[in-house]
Amino acid sequence: MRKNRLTASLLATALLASGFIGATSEAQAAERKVVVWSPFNGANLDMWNASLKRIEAVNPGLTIESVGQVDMEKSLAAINAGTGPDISVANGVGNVGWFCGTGAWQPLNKFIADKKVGINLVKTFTPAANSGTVSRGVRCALPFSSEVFGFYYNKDLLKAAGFKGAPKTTTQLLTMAKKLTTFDAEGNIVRAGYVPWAGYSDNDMGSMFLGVMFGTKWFNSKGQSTFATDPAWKKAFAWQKKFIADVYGHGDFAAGSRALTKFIAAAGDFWGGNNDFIKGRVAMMAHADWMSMMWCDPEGWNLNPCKTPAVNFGTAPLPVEPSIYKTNYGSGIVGANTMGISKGSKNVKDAWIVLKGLATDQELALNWSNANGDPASLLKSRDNNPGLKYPAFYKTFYNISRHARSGYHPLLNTGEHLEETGLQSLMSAWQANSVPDISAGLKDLANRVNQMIARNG
Amino acid sequence: MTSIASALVPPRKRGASAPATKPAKLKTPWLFIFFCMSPWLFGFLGFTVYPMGASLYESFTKFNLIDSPQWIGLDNYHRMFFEDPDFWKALWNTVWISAISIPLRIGFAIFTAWLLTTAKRGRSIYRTIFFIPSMVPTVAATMVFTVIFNPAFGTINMLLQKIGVKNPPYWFMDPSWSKWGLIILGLWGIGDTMLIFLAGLLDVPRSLYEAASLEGANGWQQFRYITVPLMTPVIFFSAVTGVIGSFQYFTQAYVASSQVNDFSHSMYFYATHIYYAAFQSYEMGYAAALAWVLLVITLICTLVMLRTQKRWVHYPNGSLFK
Amino acid sequence: MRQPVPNMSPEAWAEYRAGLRKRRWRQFLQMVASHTGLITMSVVFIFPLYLVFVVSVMSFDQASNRDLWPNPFIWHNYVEVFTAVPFLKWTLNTLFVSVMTMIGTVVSSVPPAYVLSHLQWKGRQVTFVIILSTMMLPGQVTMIPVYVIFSKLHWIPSFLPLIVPSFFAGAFSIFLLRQFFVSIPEEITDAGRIDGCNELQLMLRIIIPLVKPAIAAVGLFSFLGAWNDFFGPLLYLVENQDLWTLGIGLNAFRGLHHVDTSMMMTASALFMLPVIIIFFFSQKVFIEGVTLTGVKG
Repeated sequence: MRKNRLTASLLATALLASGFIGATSEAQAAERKVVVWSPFNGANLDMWNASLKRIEAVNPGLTIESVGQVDMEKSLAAINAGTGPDISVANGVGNVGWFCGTGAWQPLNKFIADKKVGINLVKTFTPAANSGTVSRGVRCALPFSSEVFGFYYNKDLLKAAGFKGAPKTTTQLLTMAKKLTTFDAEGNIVRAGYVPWAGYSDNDMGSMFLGVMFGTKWFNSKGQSTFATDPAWKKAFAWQKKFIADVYGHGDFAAGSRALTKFIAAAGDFWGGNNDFIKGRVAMMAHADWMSMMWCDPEGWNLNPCKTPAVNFGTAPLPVEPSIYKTNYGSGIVGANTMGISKGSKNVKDAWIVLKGLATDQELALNWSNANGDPASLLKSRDNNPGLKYPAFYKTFYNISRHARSGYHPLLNTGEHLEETGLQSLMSAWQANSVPDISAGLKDLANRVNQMIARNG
Repeated sequence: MTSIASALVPPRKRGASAPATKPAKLKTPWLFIFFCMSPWLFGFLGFTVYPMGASLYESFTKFNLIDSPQWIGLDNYHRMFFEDPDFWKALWNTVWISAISIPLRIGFAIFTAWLLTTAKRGRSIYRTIFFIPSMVPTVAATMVFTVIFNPAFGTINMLLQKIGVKNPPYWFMDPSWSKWGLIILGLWGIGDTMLIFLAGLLDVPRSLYEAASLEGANGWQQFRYITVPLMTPVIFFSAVTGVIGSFQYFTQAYVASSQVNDFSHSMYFYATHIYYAAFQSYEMGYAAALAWVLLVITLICTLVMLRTQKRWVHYPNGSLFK
Repeated sequence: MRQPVPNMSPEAWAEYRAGLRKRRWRQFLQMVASHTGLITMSVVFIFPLYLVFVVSVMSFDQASNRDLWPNPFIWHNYVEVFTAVPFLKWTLNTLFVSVMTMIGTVVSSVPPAYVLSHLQWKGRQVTFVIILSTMMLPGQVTMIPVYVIFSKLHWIPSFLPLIVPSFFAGAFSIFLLRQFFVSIPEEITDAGRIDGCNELQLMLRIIIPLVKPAIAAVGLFSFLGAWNDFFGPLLYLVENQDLWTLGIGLNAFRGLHHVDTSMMMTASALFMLPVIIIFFFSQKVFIEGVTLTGVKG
């Protein structure tokens, strides 16, 4: 009896111990897991996952779980609920100030500076890319690939109107647009030369394009909004008003605004073969580098080969105001995919390894550039190599991404990029002839942005 | 009707004299009552009482859902009134659309209901036609309206031009006209309100009209002196529910602004502001403060209406509750 | 024709007949006016619906031309909408949520309505007044903590936040049912009690069969309320595209690829059609339900 009890208790202890050991090693094994959520899908996701596999191979014991088609809005909701991933990826740079400021993405400064696992940011990434991952000295993201905004023009239409190439200054833009615009018998616009209109290209970039054209500043060194203090903004909006009046209203701004509203209301679906630029309804359009994919292949978005594009398009940097031509022409808005380590991540050390791996993977960068037309954010990338597959238009965006003045505006915690949405609202009201005094509007917006920054600490 | 019902004394109106046989004094079946009321009771405690208390508390905090709420006192309220132009814009839009659409809706409901009463035959067909639009999903109705009111290829403007209107408004794409587009959308869905007014109209005793026409009153006089006063309870009910409802106006505005990129906030209402504060900026404390201000405004409006009803509402039975 | 009063003088008779003619003429005019007004109004109300169905079978170019009659009929739009967007999934999701909401509402609202109408108990009036006043509460006041509760339960995104609360008896359904229950005389339940039935039997076997129209109305209203609901899904389902209901899907149409105006109308038509069909088969129930809530209480 006693022996049995002894055996039993020994067995029990052994079981318990093995279970305990098993649990600990399981826990240890579970610890080395990193969950990555990204908004990518299809071929992009495949490239992404291949890169993750390479990281796993170099780091034995590390497992990475990748989920695609999760945009940052969903990731943020999950992070807020406590069920977020270790690494989340945003499609752009605009909210980085918000993520850094609220702590949704953890500060990475100490990892970057670390002697063993750190990165030399200046030597690894382009200046434009680096400017998009930091807010008030806190770096909470690493860049991946890029998103370069430039200028597209319809080569056939421009040639037919007698123009040799893209406009380089805003003055030329106005002249060319005027010649390229046509009306019907009732006075409705049939073809527009260029549409400087907030909301036109189904994005929030209208006001940002204006900003680039006039070399505007968004924030000063103290982190305050310069909408009211930088005279370039007022100039930019005055130019937009003149443009609409001259090109679409025969000198009358209200008429031009109405005509444009109607023209835009008649536009087909922006995404796909009915796009205005593809149909020749508009001759010139500012947009992102990856729109080349749609011009080349509206249905399948295949960049290569681009032998028979749906529209004969040319690329160029955005035209700029003549007085800043020498210094600013050739620059543009450069965003990037940004990725950070979420708040509440249980395995920050390994998440950093994965993050660094993704950001510095040359093979991933090259394949991505080939497929999407986005220049890499890596300084010494292989995509300026002539052995690349893509056609010549890529060069335009590559050069823009390397220009000294390219980048994004300074990032502060303005909630969900209030400085951008607020400016876009102001521009929309201005172009619809609802704002009598643009200076007052800019001043009001600047105050609101500053208040929000102050409130967010 | 079941056999029990037919075997009993014929159904009488409630409140009539007591039946011949009184049941023995029964104990109140509290267990049964609790069992039946418990879903509502727990729902009430969990989804109404607790959240009201919690949101009141949260309105004094800074709360972004990840971290726990931080007490900041009256900061949210101060910001709302002094630092948030969107608040005033949203409030103004909401007040404007309430002031315009509630009387319009009541008037239109009375008109359509009255029109139905003039139909001797086929009334139910017309009633169906008038009612269906109010049953249609609001998202679908709003999307359809943004299409047919499109300034470029919308049918409405084409018809307007055909009848000679030179420059028809751009409706949802014009900040000064977009709310009118919403109002028209609301009037199209007048069906459910109209039914209530129809019932009210039919409730007016025919004898009153007959007596009036014997005394020589014409149709308009009859309407003014008989119909309208007797309809005031329904009008009152409709006005109160209208005020409460219009301060929560959200779906049509949200859907319409998504279709047309309403950057100038012409279709930005109080409920929209609360939604964005809570679920786009994750500023839950601020959103809670906004919600409580909304509650107070609604309460004040309702109380004012209840107080002043004596002056213009005639109840045939003398009181609101039977 | 018979004279109203016997032996009328010829002048009186002529006057009477003239008056009759005038009255008949006026009645005829009134009828014409009434029907003109009714038909005009009907056209106004039907016109948007007509446009939805008509544009839904047009090509995009024709829709842009504001034609009023399709030529040719692109019936294929109705097939294409299922391939261009996950329309079937949206429909099934919406159906699931609506049916579950309907079940939850009916099951949980009938007992309180019964207890509030056919039983006498202390606190009954107070409870009813409380229920009434919750109907007037703006939803925004409770919205955020409720969202936080569901968030902490990890029920976001899922159908649970939409379905579970319906099992807790909404004020509107209780109110509607109770109004109807009140019209069933007390004598029936009293008699039942004398006969020895307990309350549960009374409720299930006797009262419920008598109030079938009201239950149908409540079921119908809750089904349609869930079918048409936008805000609930917007809050709780939007993060997972697989859970989207028709409302959210339709609103997001413009952001989805390969859709245009005529397909938007096709989708809208399909979204509206079940409601219209259900309505045609259950008109009386609807109308009784709406009028019950409006006037009697």
